[in-house]
Amino acid sequence: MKQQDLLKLITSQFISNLKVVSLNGGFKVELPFKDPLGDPIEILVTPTNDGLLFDDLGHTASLLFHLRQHREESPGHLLTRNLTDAYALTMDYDQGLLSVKLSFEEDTSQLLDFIKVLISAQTVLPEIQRRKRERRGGKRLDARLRQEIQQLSLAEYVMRQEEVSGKYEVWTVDYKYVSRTLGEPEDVLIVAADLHGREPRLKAEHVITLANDVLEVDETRHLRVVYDVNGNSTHEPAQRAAAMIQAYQDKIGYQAYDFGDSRQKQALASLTHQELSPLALGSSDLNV
Amino acid sequence: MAYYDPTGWIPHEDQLLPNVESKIKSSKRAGSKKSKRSKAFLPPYAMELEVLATETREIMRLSLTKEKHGKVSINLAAGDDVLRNGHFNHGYHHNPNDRDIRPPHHIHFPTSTYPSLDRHHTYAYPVKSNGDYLSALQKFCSDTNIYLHNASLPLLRR
Repeated sequence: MKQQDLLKLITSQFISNLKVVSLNGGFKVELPFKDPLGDPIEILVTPTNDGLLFDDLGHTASLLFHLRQHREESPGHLLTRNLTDAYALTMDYDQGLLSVKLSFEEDTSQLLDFIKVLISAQTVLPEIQRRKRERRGGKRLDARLRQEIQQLSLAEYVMRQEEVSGKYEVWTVDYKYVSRTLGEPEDVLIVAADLHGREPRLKAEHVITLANDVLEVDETRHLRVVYDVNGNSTHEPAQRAAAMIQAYQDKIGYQAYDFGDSRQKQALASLTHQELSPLALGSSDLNV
Repeated sequence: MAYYDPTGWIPHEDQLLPNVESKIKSSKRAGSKKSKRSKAFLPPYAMELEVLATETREIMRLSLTKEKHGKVSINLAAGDDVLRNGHFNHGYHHNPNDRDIRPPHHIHFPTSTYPSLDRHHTYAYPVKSNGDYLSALQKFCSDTNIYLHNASLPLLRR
């Protein structure tokens, strides 16, 4: 691709999605960027005697209110105030309007600052609220799983962050050890899927694909998928991701454990301990 | 009061979220919120109502705003999850399956594939309303089975 082609591509994206319509003596401008709901971000331009007044039609204030970020101490409110101060814009909280006035003599580059702040606010404000939800879950799953493994009396036989070859890919599993409960050595792999945070579906897809690939090459391998939706129990995507991990276990041949369920957590710890014990005996035998 | 089932607006491979729809179907009452004094700004026409599910006693939040030139947005949220989002006096909405919803009024709803009403592109269905603030609120409540019990609209400033 040539420099000119790239410029043409970017320009066309901006131009084709930019619209201006007349409205009550002024103009409504649809910017080529969408708000969190997929609707175009709009600004209103009102001609004045000596220039133009740009405002956001009240969209930023409305968003702060719907997101419960309208209290003075809220991060969203603070961020908006800092942005408007930094770029010398006006946020009229009584009118609920973010605006800037430009005279024809002035440098009109402040218009771009106004648009920049508006788009930043629309992009960032919904994400501020999301962080609160993620914090509620407490310690991350991998930290809790590591703590559980370390408590085992034979934890030194468990290898962390091991690479395992599948039929098509090389994967990193959280834990790996060798079990000799059936005489022959068998690999036991443990992977964690923390469904607390973002994109729980992608995490579920990842472990299911990993399971499919690593179990395809070696039938004696055992794979345990540990997941957790604790703290995210009302979050639909996390629930669906957990259901997906459970649903595919029989078909693919791994065992799924809900780490938020104390019985399942205990069952995994007991099984791991049981599988590691003969290994330790074997090791002592060798030492003798 | 009623419940509007938006199934007809989504493709067969997608589906409504059962947890969300059961909350929408459940009988609810909205009343003015007993707000604590706080240092918060209130945009013009902004209003917050407390919605109580009569059976489960779950408390939800209904928030309304009206922007310059008449755009009305109404949100119904349970905790951090937005269950429905009404847009009145808005432009076209392009549904993810390329089915356009004509202006001026529509209500967004979450599905398995497009679940986040507060952050991403989602499906919406069209609604009929006069478009003024109160009829938009009444239509939204009618579709989401909310009885406006004690909503004296005390927070309206103009």
